[in-house]
Amino acid sequence: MLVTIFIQAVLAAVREFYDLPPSMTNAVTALCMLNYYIYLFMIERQTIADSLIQKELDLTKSELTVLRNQIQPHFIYNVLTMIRSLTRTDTERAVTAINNFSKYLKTHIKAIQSEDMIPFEDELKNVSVYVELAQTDYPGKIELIYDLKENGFYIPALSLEPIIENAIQHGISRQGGRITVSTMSENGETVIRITDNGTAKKEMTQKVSERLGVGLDNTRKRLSKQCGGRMDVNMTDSGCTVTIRIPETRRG
Amino acid sequence: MKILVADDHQLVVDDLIYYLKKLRPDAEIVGTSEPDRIAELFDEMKPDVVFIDIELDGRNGIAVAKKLQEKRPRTNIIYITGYEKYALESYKTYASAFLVKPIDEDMLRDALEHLRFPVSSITDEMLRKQYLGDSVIGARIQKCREECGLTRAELAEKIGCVMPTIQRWETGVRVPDIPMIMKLANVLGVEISELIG
Repeated sequence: MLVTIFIQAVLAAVREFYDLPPSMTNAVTALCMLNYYIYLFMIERQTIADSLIQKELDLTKSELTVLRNQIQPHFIYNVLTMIRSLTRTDTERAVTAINNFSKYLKTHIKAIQSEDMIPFEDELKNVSVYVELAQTDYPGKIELIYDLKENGFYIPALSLEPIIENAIQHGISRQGGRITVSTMSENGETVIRITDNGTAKKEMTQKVSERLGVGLDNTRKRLSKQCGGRMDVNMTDSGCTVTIRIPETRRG
Repeated sequence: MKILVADDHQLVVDDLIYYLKKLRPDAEIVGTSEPDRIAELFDEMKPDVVFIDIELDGRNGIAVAKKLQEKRPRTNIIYITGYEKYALESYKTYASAFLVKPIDEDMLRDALEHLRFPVSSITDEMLRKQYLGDSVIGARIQKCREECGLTRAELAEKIGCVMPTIQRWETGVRVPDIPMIMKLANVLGVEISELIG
């Protein structure tokens, strides 16, 4: 492109030098300018194409991040292994586990494909499916109690799951225990409180606090980005309470 | 062969034991889903192979394995896990294998055929009861040889004798003389007392 412009500029200079009629040089000049504008246009088009590719890349990256955070391969492989074992010893429980697992996969795949918020009631269903699956092989009994004064609001999909997972794994641990989910309206905000009564003496290894951090961190980001919500964690000797506050909107 | 299996979930333990029994029907296999019992079972049983989940109840499976290995360094540690990211760290404990879930029979077969500390077909029990008299030394030589992963021909080459000689020692037809016993102890990496009792 630049070469043709250059050539034409040179030609123009030559013609000028040899004193050709003005109409000729004008035509050449016009052609030069036209070429220049075509060149600019092509550069612009390339820039737009590049930025589109970049946008697509960013979108894919963010989808992958969601994927990485929402899909828990360890959990999935454990469930599959447990189902495999159950098929040899207890087909009824195997069938129940497979049904729960299908529901689990359905909600997780949906959450990856769309970043929409879901009704709180649906999220509660997701939580109960997760707890049932986790309970398949759990030594202790996990009790889920609901105290819902508010119900008609929306929440990012699978935002409660990491909190419940922490409550089970690091809170009530192997002995079993109780998880209470309560909701209420306070100062123009919807408050969701998840409390576990876990008094398990846990070894706070670096990995544990890492995992607690990463899982909840992701939830915190999504809450903030999608509905301007905040999250607080309060751990005591008698258990752990996670409080989520979401500004009320006129939905639901 | 004695195998100990430890994972958070009893069903996962059951699943592994099912396959291990298929692969090694003569082995003594014990499993537990209670992390607190691992050390206890390990001391009682003295297993040759330990399958352990890295994410044991939030605890560090690698740390648990380390403690076991401090007690009996020639234990084969095989990690089972859902994440590949711990692979490098697991080598701190000279792991025999690192298996990523979901586990299948082929992975287990492969792991058992390539143990870091090969397990001899002769057990301590057998040494105590079956082999008596001069043949004990032969049995001990065979045991140590197998635990080094050497064939009779390979051992013969290292010692500087011929294969039939090793064969005669191991079957109790002949007894090695003292310089040879010292050489054997050296090559097999054991104390002389382990050979002559």
